[in-house]
Amino acid sequence: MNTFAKLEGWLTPAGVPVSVSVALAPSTAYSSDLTGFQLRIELARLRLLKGFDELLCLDGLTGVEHLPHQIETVRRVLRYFRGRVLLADEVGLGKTIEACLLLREYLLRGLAKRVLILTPPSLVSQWREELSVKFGLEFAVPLGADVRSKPEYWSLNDRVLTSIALAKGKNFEAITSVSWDLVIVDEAHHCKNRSTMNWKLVNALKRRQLFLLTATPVQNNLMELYNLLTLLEPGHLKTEADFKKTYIQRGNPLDPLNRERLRSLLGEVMIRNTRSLVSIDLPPRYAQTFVVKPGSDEAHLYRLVDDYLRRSRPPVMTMEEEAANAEGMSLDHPHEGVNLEVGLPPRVLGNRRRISSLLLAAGSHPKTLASMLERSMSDQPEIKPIIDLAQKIGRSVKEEKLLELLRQGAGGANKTLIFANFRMTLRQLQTLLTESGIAFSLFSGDMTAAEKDMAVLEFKERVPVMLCSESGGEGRNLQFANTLINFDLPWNPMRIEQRVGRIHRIGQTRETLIFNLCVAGSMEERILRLLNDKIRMFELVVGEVGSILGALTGGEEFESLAMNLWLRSRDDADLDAAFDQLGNDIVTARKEYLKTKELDKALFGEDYE
Amino acid sequence: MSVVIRERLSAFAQAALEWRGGVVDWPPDKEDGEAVLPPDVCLLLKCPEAVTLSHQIRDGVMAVNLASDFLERMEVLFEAEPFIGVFKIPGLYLKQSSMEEPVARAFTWRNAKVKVLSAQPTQLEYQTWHFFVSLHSEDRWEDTCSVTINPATRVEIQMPDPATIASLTPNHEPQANHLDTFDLAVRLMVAKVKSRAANFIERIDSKLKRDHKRLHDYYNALLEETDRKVAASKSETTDVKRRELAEAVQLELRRKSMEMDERYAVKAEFKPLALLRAQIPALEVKLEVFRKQSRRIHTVYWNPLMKQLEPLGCASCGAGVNSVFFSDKEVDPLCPSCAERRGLGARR
Repeated sequence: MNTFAKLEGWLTPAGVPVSVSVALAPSTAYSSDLTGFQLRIELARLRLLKGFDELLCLDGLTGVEHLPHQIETVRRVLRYFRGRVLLADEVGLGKTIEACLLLREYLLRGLAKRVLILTPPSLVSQWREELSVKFGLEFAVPLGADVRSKPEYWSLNDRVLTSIALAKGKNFEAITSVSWDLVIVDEAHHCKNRSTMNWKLVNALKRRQLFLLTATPVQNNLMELYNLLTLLEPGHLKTEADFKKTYIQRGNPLDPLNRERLRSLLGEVMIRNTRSLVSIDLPPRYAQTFVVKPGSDEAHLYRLVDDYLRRSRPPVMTMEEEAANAEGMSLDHPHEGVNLEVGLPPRVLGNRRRISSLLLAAGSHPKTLASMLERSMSDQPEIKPIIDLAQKIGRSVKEEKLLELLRQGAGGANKTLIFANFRMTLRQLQTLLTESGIAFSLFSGDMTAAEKDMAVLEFKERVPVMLCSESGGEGRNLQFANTLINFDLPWNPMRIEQRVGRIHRIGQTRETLIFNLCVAGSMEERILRLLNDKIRMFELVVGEVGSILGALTGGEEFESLAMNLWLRSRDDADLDAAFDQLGNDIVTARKEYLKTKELDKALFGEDYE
Repeated sequence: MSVVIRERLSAFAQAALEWRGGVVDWPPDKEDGEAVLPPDVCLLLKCPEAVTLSHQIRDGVMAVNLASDFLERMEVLFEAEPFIGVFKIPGLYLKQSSMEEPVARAFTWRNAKVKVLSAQPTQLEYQTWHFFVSLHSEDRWEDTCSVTINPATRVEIQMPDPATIASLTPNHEPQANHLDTFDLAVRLMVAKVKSRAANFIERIDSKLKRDHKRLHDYYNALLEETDRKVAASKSETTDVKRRELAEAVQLELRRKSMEMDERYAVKAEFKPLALLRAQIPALEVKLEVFRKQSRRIHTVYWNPLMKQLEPLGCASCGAGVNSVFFSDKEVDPLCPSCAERRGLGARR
């Protein structure tokens, strides 16, 4: 460890102060070892290789598929933008990956130490997971209570990930009083309006570098773009009045004046990759949903579970309560068999989570439901008959349908990937396929890397089917498969999108077939109906669902919204009505999204560079 | 990583581990290599005795990669080793004929008479300091630099790096330790960096100027705009409003300016990497200097690696000087600039 001494500095010709510190010579011990001496010098020279030509962030990443345009973006930001940039790639081109690569690069190079990431509340957990799992970066995620009683939280933690909602509230003063090396704002279009607290917060933050991320820098008019860029570089587009006079054509927001000049100025602070620019055009994908009618035992089982859960349901939490209490918690990994409640604050512990897990399990497989009930509620006498009934059910209707699909050819020449939420469901499917003589491989999140490699190799070369857990397959090249069966469904559409993205991705040359299985009357059926009929989710490109639902739910996670509808409803009819209303809202949100998309396209074109 | 860098890294890993007693088998065409390391090295590197070396970052290997902590780990190996290397270069040819001519060729005596008294062979130690230098600002500049000093004259000598001389051999009986050249080395290094990083500094300067101008233009225009708006409103409280707005804008401008200055401020860091002390045969040439009524004996050295006489050191700024002034009383050597400052330079 070096001890440093401060020396007198100097001023550059423009008056920039240069402070000088010198590490003291470590000791007076000597040797006559020339090799050691030369190696010592070589070591220092090797350190110089960490220049910007060599990206350091790419090595050692697990499960991150970085595309050429993302790498190019990282290089451009490092070389030319010097840490202040609006990343405005079209939806689905991986802005988050770009930002994380940049973040990792900045950390590895020592260009940033204190980092603040601001996201909408609904994306906090997703960011935390991606940062941790894919980039090996751990971030402190404050709960409301953490920071309310401890304003020094922001200076004590060097890497903080939080929602903009939490940051701008009572924490405004504390968070803006400390310095940050790098601030990343996801979904930065929420800062498009200067009179909002969002804009004011980002403007007030003391930071050296700032990445703003949004696919839609302009949602209604060009002033939104002006406001965003003013956060990055005040004055880059001159004053508001100047900007309006020079670039905005009254009555026609789609056709700015001085377009080329505007584009050239934008190029200095904004990067926008478009699909046409990076040549990502995938073959079409087709989705088909099979709503299977449950047999009498299964129908009875769902009725019993539904009734029981309705009797024991908790009050609906407000959005603020959810944000304040559950922010950043990993809530949605029932498939990995984790104890959902470990680490959750007391208010979140309890019925709400348990109910959503049980509803998900009921939608997955009777045996999975039985197993979960036995684990968590077997002490309650009224549960016993439900468990007995679930155990009694042999082959479920969804299993029958799955076999039918596989026999019809889904698992023939086409390689078929079957997804399931729960480990127990995967075990049931293993038994089903084995008994039916269908060869398969198994890919699960709890397997070692070598086992996973083996499973993929087997799937690629020998067997027609691979059973896959939720997180399974992320970062693997599975484009050789073109058929996907969702045996059950997560309520989070992003997770459905991730599943589809396993095979419908760059490198896929054939049409992709997606089959969804759900039981009539289940929550999954309702959710699928919304996503299919109202958003036409399976026709959208990756990321667009998030853009539509993000605007609709105002930051609340979609599955939480769906859960609230269930909790608020008295019966199925009530629930159907609530879902219908949600469907109408989704249609409106989709229209808004398409309008925004059209505006962005008109302003930036498809060849923005 | 590029192939060149991979190769350089693996060559370094192999050489460094073998230097510390390890056995390394890493053929150039293989992705991974194997090493067996002595216990003390394992302890320092926190790795098992038998370890796989790989360019890939993965569990259970020593990842020889710029993005891993490989270079930082290797630094630990060197921290435990002496920072100073002592060597000698024996058997260099020394010319002992008359030094009158070489002295006359090497120096211009600007205000004194000089006579060569003697020339004797001697053993002289030269100290080459290696530094890692970094400048951090809104951008970053890094380099390694070295400076060689003759401790006897405390002058920087522009001679070939002794570490590259083939006949460099261990010196088991070095002269007394001379760490008192450290401050001088740092001073010389700062001057070197100012010149080597001039383009970088210029870039930072011009960017800061540009950004400051943009910021001021923006806030001034903002002020004018709001001023016009308030004036147009013709309210009774116009003046108060104007003042308040002007203050708010000025405050914001100051805040942004300070933030920008902070972002652009340069932090220069100098870390000594190694010191090479090389003992070299040299000719010690005694000169008798006559200045007005005073006289003094100075020593200069004939350097066999440079094959010329080394400059004298300016008594005032320390710079090596061949066009020499001398002060009146002490007969100290001075460079032309320092001589002029003392009123000596103007006489000739």
